[in-house]
Amino acid sequence: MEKFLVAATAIVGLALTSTPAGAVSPATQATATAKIFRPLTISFVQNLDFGTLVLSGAGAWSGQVISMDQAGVLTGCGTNVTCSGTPRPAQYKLVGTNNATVTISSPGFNLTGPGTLAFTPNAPATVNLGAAGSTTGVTFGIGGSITLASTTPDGVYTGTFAVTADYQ
Amino acid sequence: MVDRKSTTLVVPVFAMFGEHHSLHRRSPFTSRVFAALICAALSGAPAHAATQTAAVTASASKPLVLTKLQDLDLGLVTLGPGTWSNATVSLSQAGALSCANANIVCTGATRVARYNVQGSNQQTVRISAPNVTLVNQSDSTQTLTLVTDAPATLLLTNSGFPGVDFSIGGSVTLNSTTGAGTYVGTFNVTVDY
Repeated sequence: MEKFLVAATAIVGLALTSTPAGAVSPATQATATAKIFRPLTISFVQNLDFGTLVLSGAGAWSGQVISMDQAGVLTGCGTNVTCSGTPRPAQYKLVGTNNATVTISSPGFNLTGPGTLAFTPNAPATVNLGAAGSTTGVTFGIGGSITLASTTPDGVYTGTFAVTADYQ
Repeated sequence: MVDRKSTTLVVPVFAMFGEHHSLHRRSPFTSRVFAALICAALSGAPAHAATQTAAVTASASKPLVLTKLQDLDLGLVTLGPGTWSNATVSLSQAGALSCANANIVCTGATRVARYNVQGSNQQTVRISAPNVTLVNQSDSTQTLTLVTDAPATLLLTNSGFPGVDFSIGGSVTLNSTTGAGTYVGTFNVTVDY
């Protein structure tokens, strides 16, 4: 009797993959961020004062800009306008969350008196509360500018800031 | 063994038969088939032939590719005064923010995390998105747990590019004693078939 090969073959399922099966990660994972902050408070510290501005220029002149920076230093004084007295910037104090960044909004307004002078504030766009932002807080200054002419009525001019602050 | 008229190696058919010797100028494949047929013909009606069948399956899959598209941002949560607990801020995977507790105020833009996965068309992909530990950048001893909101699976509807995008949201629970600061963590998302 011939012997012949009887083959009972169980054919195996074939999975073709070029990489091993297993969880795949991205090259870079997403980050998750949450800002958990204490309420922000802003309080008045000091009014802005240009000091005394004498319209000392001879003849007719106009467009003389007197500017105060956020530290209270005046520029523009000279031939047309003599500056004296003690100029001071406006100041506000912020208290909130340590190291948080706050945006400052300070729109322009008019000074009224014998006449009307447009006032353009010079405020920081942002303030960082620093490491003691929740306790000591941080005080920042706001300057500003006005434009004078030989025809500007002399007298005392006043106005009011409308400053707001928000967490960034 | 090499046939004189070709250089093709010819498998001797006699290897299958035992006693029968026959050299053919055929390819090894046809020789084996021929041998099988002869074998079956000579066997007549086997008394105890047994037949086995088994299914053959072959699954050829593209490797999965996972790419991060966007980071998650819960925006800004301001903690109210007094003593309170269990105020939850939730951002669903659909991007809906829930901030209903009276002791917290949620402001600012929020964004879900987003990823893209590519692989084989019509394959189901499993998604793993464990919770994320967020660390206060001003004080590393203070942490929050972001409980993730992610789909468990998704179906790939194309092969390779462009793949399918999916989103992941999350929620954190706050107390009046939660340390204030910016909390940041990193996801550990993986996918497999």
